[in-house]
Amino acid sequence: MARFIEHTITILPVLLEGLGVTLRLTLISALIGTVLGLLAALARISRNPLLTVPASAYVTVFRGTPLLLQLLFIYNALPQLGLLLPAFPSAVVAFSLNAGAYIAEIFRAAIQSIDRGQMEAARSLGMSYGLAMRRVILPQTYRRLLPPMVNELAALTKDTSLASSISILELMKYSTQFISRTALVWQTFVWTAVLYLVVTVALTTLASWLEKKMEARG
Amino acid sequence: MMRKSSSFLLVILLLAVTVLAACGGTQQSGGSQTDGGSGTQQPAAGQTQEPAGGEDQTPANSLERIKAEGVLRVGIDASYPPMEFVDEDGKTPIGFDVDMASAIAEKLGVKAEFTIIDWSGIQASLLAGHYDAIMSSMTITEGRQNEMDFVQYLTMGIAYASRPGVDVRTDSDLEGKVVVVQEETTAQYYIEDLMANAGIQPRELRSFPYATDAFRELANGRADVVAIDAPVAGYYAQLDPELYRVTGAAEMEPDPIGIALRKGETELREAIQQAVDELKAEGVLRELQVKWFGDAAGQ
Amino acid sequence: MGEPIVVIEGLKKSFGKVEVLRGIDLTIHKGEVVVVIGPSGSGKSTLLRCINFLEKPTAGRVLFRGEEVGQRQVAGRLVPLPEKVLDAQRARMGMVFQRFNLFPHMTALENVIEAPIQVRKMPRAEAEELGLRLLRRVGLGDKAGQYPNFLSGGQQQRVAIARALAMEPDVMLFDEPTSALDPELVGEVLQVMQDLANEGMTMVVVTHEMGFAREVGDRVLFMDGGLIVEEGSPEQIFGEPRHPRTREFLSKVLH
Repeated sequence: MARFIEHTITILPVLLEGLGVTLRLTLISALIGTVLGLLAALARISRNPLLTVPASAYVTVFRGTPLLLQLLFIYNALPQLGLLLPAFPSAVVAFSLNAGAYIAEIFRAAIQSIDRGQMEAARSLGMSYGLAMRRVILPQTYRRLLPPMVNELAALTKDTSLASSISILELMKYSTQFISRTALVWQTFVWTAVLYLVVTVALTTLASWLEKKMEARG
Repeated sequence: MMRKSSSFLLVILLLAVTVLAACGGTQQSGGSQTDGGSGTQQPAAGQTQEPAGGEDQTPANSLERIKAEGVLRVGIDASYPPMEFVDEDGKTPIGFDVDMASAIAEKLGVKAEFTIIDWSGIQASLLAGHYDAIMSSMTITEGRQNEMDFVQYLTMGIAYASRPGVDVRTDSDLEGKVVVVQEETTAQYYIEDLMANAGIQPRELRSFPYATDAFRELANGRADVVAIDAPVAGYYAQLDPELYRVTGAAEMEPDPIGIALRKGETELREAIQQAVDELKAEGVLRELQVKWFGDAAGQ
Repeated sequence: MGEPIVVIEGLKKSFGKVEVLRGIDLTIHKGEVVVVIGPSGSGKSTLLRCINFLEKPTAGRVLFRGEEVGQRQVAGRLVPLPEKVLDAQRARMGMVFQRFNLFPHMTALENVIEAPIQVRKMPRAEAEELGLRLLRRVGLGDKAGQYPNFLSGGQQQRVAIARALAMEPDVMLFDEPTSALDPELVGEVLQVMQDLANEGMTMVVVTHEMGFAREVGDRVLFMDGGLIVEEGSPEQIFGEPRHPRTREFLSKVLH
């Protein structure tokens, strides 16, 4: 036990540094992805083919190809087309685009699950489509968005481990790298798992709390 | 529905265009790139740049740029002690290759900067231009030479490290043993070749992504012998002499290990070759071998 | 008779291959209470929803205060009018739905004042005053801070009426307003509607409530198979229906 604590003291600081990178990558990509996703969802449900076609293509491509491929493409293939992005921006672009595609579907499903009568009532009062979306439809989606969005965030957190293929040192890479140096395999992996769990459990807890708050309103 | 089929067609078209564009692009011909990376990743300001060359393979001139910037950027996968791994802080690159790269950089009058990247992405990143050299115990093979140019600086043989009670000294001693190797290394291919062509049949041959995994198998008694690059075997043996001993070596020509460069980098290659030759002559290479491998494993 | 508020000419509506409205001509005058009755599938709701363009007519015109609603005939084709124009027209029509369609994330008061604030840019204090007044008028002054899911069906519908009234519409469209209510709650809603009629509101009401049609309606339309089969005063329609289908329908519905 004393040995385990000793090892923990050497392991944790290293892993925490990795966790910091993982979190930064996750949060920035999640934010951008959410904005992208909302825009893409609204474009998908519009009646204007100039909006629906590109949005559908975007969602289809980024949900239909492996995230690793998207990462490597942006980091290693774009330079051949003239765009050389450093590692962190490449990762943010890839993760944001990928998350955005999944989030677009989450938003779309949530919006379309709101009763048609809501939009009809809002429009019949003279509200424009945009106003109705903003004031009536979208606020009603928040509760329905929580579970799938939390899933997506947790998935994104874990997906960031792919970033080591484009030279980003995140939690998983710190972990395997450390192990190769110290051979403290199970100790390091246990703590790595704990750190990922801390993040995902924090997410689900936050979501439950938010859901309860929304319950009160109805 | 009309809308669905037209968006499907558009997606196919988009993909086709993207693939064609990616294939038709030329190799990045030099130019400055701002990929920072001294082991850790800071979010460097993204800079875009236009390819300096035209559609042809114009000879690259990275050496000039490297000297102008004062930095030689090197890609490594720092999970491979003692060749390249990380220090106690978990992120500073150290190892034989790190010291060697720094020495070479000094000869060129610049400093070495290391980008740590997964083995799976290491070659593509070099070709994309994120760094100028790979110095990560990369074996020079024909296949790789089709895509990159090499400067050899070392040879590495395969050593056998056995668990207590087992004594594998040569290839034939592998017969009937449970052998573990690291995935996609020369050791793996060598043993597979022995099995296919030399009639040597280990009881089992298992491979793992990491060297540590392979040694774990020895430690928990699930394997008899690890076949792995000699320096690595030496490193782990000294970490835990009770569990692992280097008991023998493969009967093979040691593999040539080289620094990988993009094709066409004539000036850079020559400069690095010269640096390596000088370091050999000055005995620096031997010093480093002793420092990191414990004994002269390779030349 | 008051000026024409809504004029419908040759209105046709098909859903795919199914023709639901087969040619409607109708004028609604200011202050009139027009009640539309008929079997389900007759097109009554569709007719109502064409007036504020919630359904898009396949042929014909709908004029509101002299302006075409939603689309325009140009060289034999129907061309949509700008959304802003439609929004402005809808702002002057009020609609009450069978399922109330109150905004569940807002209180009763917030439901009522939402459009005045957002669409007419009314200052919040003024809107709240207006909203409370309207809620009191429909008998729900004390429920201003309640969320819809804590209100009974009848109460929700009355809030919905107040919400529509808050925009000071020129015409109120009622789409089977009591069909989704428990019987004991129907009366309170019909009472509000009757009060509204007495105050001179122009109303088009699609309903099964024959009592209301008889007592409050100025004109009753019987629809069947996408056409207005018979129209007249309540006395005429209920007392001396001329068309056999009218008679058939009424005999089934009035016992």
